[in-house]
Formats: sequence, C-alpha cells, structure tokens
Amino acid sequence: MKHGQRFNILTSLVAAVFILSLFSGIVAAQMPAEKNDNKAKFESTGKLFEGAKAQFENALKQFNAKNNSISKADLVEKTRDYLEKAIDHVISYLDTVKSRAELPENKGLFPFDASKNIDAHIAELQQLRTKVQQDSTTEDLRADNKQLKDIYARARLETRYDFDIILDNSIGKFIAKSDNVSARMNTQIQNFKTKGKDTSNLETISANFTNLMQEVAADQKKTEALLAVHTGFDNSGIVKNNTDALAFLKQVDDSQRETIKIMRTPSRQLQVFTREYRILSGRSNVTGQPRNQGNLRNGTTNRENRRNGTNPPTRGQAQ
Amino acid sequence: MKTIYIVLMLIIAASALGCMGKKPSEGTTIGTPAGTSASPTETSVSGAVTPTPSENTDFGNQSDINTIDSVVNDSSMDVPLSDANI
Repeated sequence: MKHGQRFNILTSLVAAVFILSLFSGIVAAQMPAEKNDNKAKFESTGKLFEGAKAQFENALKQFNAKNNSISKADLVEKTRDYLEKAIDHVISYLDTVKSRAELPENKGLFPFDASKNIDAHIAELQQLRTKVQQDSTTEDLRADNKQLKDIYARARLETRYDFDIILDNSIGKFIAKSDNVSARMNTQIQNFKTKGKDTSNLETISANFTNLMQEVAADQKKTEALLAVHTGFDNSGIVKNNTDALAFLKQVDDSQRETIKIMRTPSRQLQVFTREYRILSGRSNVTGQPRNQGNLRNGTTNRENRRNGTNPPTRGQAQ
Repeated sequence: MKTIYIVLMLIIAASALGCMGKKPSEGTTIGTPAGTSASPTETSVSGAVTPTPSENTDFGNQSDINTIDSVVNDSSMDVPLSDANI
C-alpha cells in the first residue's frame, strides 16, 4: 500500500470516529433529559403551588380578620387558584411515580397494576379541577379542598406502597449479587495465595462481608413478611383503610431503613477490599496503610464495634 | 506539514474517544420530605449509603446502591397541602 493511500485511510478513520463520538454525545445528552423531564416538571409545578398556597393562606387570614365582601371575593379567587395549582402539582407527582414504576427494570415487579391505580387518581384530579374552575362559593370550594386532601391521602399511601415494593426489589438485587461478589473475592484471594502474597487482610474483609450480608438478608426477610401481608391495602394495591395502611407503611419504612443502614457496612467492606486488592495487584499508587487497618488486624469487625457502641446505632436505638 | 496534520488528526481522535466514555451526571434529590397527615413519618435514609465514586468497581454492586439511593430520594417526594380550612 502506498504512503498516500495509508494517509487517506487514516484521515477517513479519524473523521468517522469523530462523527460517531458526536452522535454518542447527543444520545447521552438526550437520555438524562428525557428521564429528568418529570422531575423538572414536578419542581416547576411545585414553585407555582407554593406561591399559590401562600397567597391562599394570606387571603384566608384577611377574610377571617375583616369578613367583608372584598376579602371574601379575594378568598374565593385565591382558593380556586391554590386548588388548581395543588392539583397540577399532585398530578406532576403522580406522573413522576408512574414513570418510575414503568421503568424497564421494574416491569413485572408489582403484583397489581400500579400504573392503572395512578391513572385512576389522575382522572379523579382532572375531574376535580373542572369542578374547581366552575365553583364560586366558599362552601363549594371547601368541599373541593376536602376532596383534594382525600384523593391525595389515598394516592400518597398507594404510591408509598409502590416505592416500598421497588425498594424491596432493589435491596433484593443487592443481596442476590452479594453471593457472586463473595465468590469473586474468594477467587482473587486464591489467586494471590498461589502467587505467595499475604492475603490475611483480604480474607478478614471477605469473611466480614459474607457475615454482614447474611445479616442483611435476614433483615430483608422481615420486610418481605410485612409486604406479603400489606395491611390496609387490598390485592390490587388500593388502600382500603388509611389508618391501617399508614401504620403498615411506617413498619415497612422502619424495616427498610434498618436494612439499608446495615448494608452500609458491607458496602464499605467492599470498598476496602477493592483498595487492598488494587494494592496487592499493583493497580494502585497508594503506599500507605488502608483505613480500618487496626480493626482488620486485631480481628474485630465493624459489627462487633457496633455492639460495643463504637459504631453507628442499630435497631431500636435513636439516630 | 504532513506531520502537523497527522498530529492534529490524532488529537481530534483522542478527544473524540474521550468524549464517548463520559455520561452527564444525574440529579436524584428532589422535593422536600415535608410530611402530610397521610404520609408515614419520614426520615431520609439517603445518607445511610454513601458510595465513594472513585472506588469499588472491581467487585462492585455500586450501581445497585446508587439505585437504592435514587429510589429512597424519590420516595420522599411530597406535596405539602395547606392545613388551613376555608
């Protein structure tokens, strides 16, 4: 091949790579924009809502103080505006939750049709908005306000339940992958041993990680037991008793919060293991001692330190 | 002249390949976790798992932790309706 031909080929290749990089940059820029549309809308409706709420509350104060026709007319106008903005904001919230529920990774996750439940509330809210726009007395608007609160209370409980299911699944994935992570850690330890390297730290970390993940898995089972009963919700994911549903969700929240808190420790163990692994494999420039070296060397684990009160509090203790 | 041209093309190619690996950062925090009478008591747990971005890719389940953080943040979204009664 002649020199000139090589040069032309090189130029063409570089041009092609450059064009491809532009394309991938555009696609990458679009993806997060689409994903954040709902969140941006929620923020935007939120600002309008807060402004309308402040004006409504001020108008109510004025009416209660003056109780004349002018303050009453102003109250009606501000109430109507507040209710409309509140409805828009709640719909925006529901759209955001729905988009989360419909993500590909959440497909088939729910034992009921979460999107359908959300759509039903959106339809209720849209009907209410039409009524609000037509109502002109404080009595009618009072009833509208009450209805809005009722719709939102139910929708909020149901979407919280949806989130708990999604979170339960995410935690479950983390736990499921930990077996594979443990196996890979052990494989690398064996590799280093055959090369005559000191793997005592890695073995300690790996053992700690495995034990802690067993604790996480055991804790997760408590949340799953609660979700299986779903007190206050029927099998379609619809709230049937607000009080029972609220109590149930609080229990699930507390349980999941505890599980995530416990997960923090094996997560850090993994980071320490990776650092040690990189040092031993020569992929790190770190020459000093890694963190938690004292804990690893004297055999104590973070779990033991937690019990001794030297780590963050566990179940039952105040944060 | 030809050498300068080659160097320029290589620089363009290098920067192009560098651009392909980048992903814009994504915000996950939104809304204020103000409770309403209908919502459970909420305390943020997003601080419970705080990944170190520069580490933990060889054995990582970091993406799962990030997902959990994201879900927790989204679940705290709320619409604080007015308590005032007409």
